[in-house]
Amino acid sequence: MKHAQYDVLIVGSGAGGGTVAQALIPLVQAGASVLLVEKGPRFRDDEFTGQELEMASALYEDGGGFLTADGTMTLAMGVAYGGSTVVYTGTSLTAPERVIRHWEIPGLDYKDLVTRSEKYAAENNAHLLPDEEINENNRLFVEGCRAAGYEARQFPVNVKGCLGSSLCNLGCPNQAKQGTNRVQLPRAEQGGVEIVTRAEALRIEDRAVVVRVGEAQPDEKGEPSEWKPGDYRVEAATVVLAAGSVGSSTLLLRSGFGAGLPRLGEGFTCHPAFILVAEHEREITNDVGHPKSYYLDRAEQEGWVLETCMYFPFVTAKNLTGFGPSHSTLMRAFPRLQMILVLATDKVTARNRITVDRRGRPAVHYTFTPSVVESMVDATRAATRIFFGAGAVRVHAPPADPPLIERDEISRLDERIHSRFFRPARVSVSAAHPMGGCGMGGDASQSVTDAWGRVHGHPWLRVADASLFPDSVEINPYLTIMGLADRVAEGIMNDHGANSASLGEER
Amino acid sequence: MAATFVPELSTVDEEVWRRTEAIITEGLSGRPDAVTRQLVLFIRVVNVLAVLRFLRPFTALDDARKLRFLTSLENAPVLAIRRGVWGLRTLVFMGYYGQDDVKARMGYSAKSIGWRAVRQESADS
Repeated sequence: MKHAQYDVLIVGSGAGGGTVAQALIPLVQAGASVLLVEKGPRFRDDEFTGQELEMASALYEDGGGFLTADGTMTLAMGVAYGGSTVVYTGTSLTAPERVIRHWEIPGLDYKDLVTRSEKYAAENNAHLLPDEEINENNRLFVEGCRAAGYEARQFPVNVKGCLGSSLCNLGCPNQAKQGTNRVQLPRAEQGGVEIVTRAEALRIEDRAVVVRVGEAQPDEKGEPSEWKPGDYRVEAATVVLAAGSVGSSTLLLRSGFGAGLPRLGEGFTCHPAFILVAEHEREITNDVGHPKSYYLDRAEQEGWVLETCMYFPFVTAKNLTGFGPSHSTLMRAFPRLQMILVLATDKVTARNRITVDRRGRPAVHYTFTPSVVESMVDATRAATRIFFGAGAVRVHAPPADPPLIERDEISRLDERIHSRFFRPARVSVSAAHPMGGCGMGGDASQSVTDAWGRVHGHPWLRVADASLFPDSVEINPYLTIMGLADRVAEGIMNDHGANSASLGEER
Repeated sequence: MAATFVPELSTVDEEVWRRTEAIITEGLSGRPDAVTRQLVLFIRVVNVLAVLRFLRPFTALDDARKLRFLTSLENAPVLAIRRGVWGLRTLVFMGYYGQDDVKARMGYSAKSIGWRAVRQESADS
């Protein structure tokens, strides 16, 4: 095993890791050494082809097929230079005040968090797309909401030079999306932070992490690692885990930290989601334009959020309930399809948690609580009304049996769409917002870290990703992750006696 | 069974079948061997269940019965059965809808240059 030594080691390069890496540039300029290791590879711009299977296989954990322990939900987690920011749609919302207050974390002030999140929203060019760039899939959602008595809101999105490929979830082929792979990581590298890709953290030891650097296969996308393949023991005065909710929790559990941290792995939430599809009589623009421009937030009132979306043929086929002629007929109507994503804003429960198996692999235990099921059913009814309000002739609703609902059935939606039809593994549920596992709080009996991401009892070890959330954030999480990661970086600067003010004086 | 999930597979040529199988094989290659073993076992279970219900294996059923039978398994009270159907259909969908010419025939036409392609096509026509 080879050895290396740094002042700070960051594990993961997504919204959390990328933010910390950039924020520590002043520390590097003051003479400190900072290393970031990322499990996934660094992709060249020309490798983002927009091809569904090819890109899913390259960019997602388990090729996009990571399943919860009982196999009833798929978790989407990006694995690349930039982490999940490579594959999100760039929707940029700050956390609602009521959510942060509900978290009740001593030392976490809402204004401080939202100010930091807004700084990154500006840095990432989050803005509302102009009207002429909104496609019909999104416009129909707005019209349908109006007809159904709701008010849709437009997402700020963090794009620059967006061509409207609609391929955000496969990695932007035009490098328009301003994820950490485009903004924070390149700046960090320019500022002297060292980044090593294809480098998987295997376990944490006292002030050290064992990292395995993998070899690029001949037919594989992505650049070779910056380091030679092999195992390394990297010592660091400070270690920051930013490998995502599942990744960071797994790493800590696998390394034996669970003994002193009884809450480790607990508090997992993920905004479980499924796709609703509606068929119109005419073709609409759906596979061109930013796919996720509008949303309807009913989290506070009813526990759900609707978002516009447009997925690719295989993902769409997988997410429709059923198979055979009716499924096939709907797939052939692709140019006439409108889509809405239903997300439940789930809450922490004792059963939903992350553990590791005997080999140290992650096992995400997730049970759909009655309240989550009711939220998804309620949201499906609302979305169906929105589709019909927009002029759709039929709607495919997963919690209905049969799932196709004709327009003349609109008066029977409460009967047609019902929780008794929500059968896990019949209804395809997926989630792209894994949260929790290393929740913030006051002490080790109730939480894993303090309000600055420092792991209780291990002052050299910090967490800077969505695993910090003590409960669901109820919106797209990346700006909240960046805000929290910014606080983590500030804490590290203070630890190293080099806050930005004094560094500025030194320079 | 694949043609029950995707009826088009009953009429496509050898090349489409070959590509479907190749995509499925590729998709399974990155998974633990146990996944393939479980799928093979599940296919055998489906055949046995068909014998118990219809006194003939799944492969000997007509198309309508195959569809009804797999639909009943998709709604089975036992989670493992529903998971098995979900897993098989997901693989078949990946094999079929993962093909470029299938996507084109469906009218799916996302392009990297997005709106520019739409304006170009509009100008050309």
